[in-house]
Amino acid sequence: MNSKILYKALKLVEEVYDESMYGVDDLYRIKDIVHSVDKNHWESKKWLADKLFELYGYNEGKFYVAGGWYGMMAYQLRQKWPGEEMNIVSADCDPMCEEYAWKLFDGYDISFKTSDVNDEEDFSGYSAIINTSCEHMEQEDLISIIEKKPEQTWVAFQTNNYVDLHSHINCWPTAQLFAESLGLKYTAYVDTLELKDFNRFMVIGR
Amino acid sequence: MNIICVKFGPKYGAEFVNKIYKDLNQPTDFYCYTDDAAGLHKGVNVIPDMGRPTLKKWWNKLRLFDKNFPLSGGTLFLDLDVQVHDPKRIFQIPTENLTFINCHWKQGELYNRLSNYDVKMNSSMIAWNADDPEIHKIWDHFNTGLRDYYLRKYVGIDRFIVHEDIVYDTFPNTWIQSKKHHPDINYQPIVTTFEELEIELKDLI
Repeated sequence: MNSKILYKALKLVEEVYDESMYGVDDLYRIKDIVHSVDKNHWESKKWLADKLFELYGYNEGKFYVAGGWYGMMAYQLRQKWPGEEMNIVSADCDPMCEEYAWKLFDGYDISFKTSDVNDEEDFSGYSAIINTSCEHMEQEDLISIIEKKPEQTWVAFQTNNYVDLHSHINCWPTAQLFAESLGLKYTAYVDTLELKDFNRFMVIGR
Repeated sequence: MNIICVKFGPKYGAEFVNKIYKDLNQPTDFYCYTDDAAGLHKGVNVIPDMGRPTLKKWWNKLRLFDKNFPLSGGTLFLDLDVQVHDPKRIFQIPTENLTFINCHWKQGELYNRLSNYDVKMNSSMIAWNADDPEIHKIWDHFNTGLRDYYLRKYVGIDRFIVHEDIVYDTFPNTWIQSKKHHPDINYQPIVTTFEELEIELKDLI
């Protein structure tokens, strides 16, 4: 893990606490921010960036990260594609994600914005759509992303089998079943990352 | 007055709904909002799962506040682990204002902290007017870009209601018994809630 990122996460925690004393009382953000940089998320997002890098084959392009949370996925992509010819956009419908992502990952040439992926109608400029929050999203919305994207645009999606959380509304028992549910015309990679308490599944294709 | 139960997932079977329906002497305006109507008494009006957004377990109770939910007027919700003692008094419960159970058994400074995780109300019984626009704002508030965050943060709707500063009343303490926290009481409650207890149907008889 990168100590610079972890230090920034600590400073964000301090900021959330300070805000709770004088303004918005939302201490759960502390836990949420900590989760977003923990070992599981670090490794699973690095896994995606590494595999997509092997398959994608170019230095340039434009990536859209859906459900980008506080920006860890976009950061991992930037580690693999450091050049400015790769444009990376990270979007999340929670407005606080944009605010904190700019602070956590400033200086990495990532564009953070507040947007619901379901409101995005035009993916024509994107060479890949990345989504590691599939377990939080309706299945028909995942299908809609695939239907809206240009044929040559890559998708790299992750979900898991961690059904016990109330926010996990779209879990799958295996990577293969998740892959089949997406109906991609070309599937390049399907695999499972075994974590301590659950499995994370990844599908990459077009 | 509408009486409604919510049954999602496998924890409670249709027999729990049917018991409340029968305990209330099979009222005409009795509803069950559910993802599985199998086994429900034919007199129970079924409101099928309204679909998106997909919600798990008790979070479906919030759907009752959706302006598109097909109920109108005074409404009373009962959890499936509630035992009804006095059906006549049930139908006299006021429904003008949003009203929850006051957990008066939760005493101490701990519960008064601003961010306390455990709150001093619960939603085992709720009264409200389904036509009140202020009620519909609760559902709308939940369905912002923060919905997923709320699901992570609050675990249940009680904490959502309290910490999102929804205005509500509480029922008189003597209307409710908590089987877990107040097993011995010297008053006749309208209902007993078995909240926080693992129960079977026979426990409610």
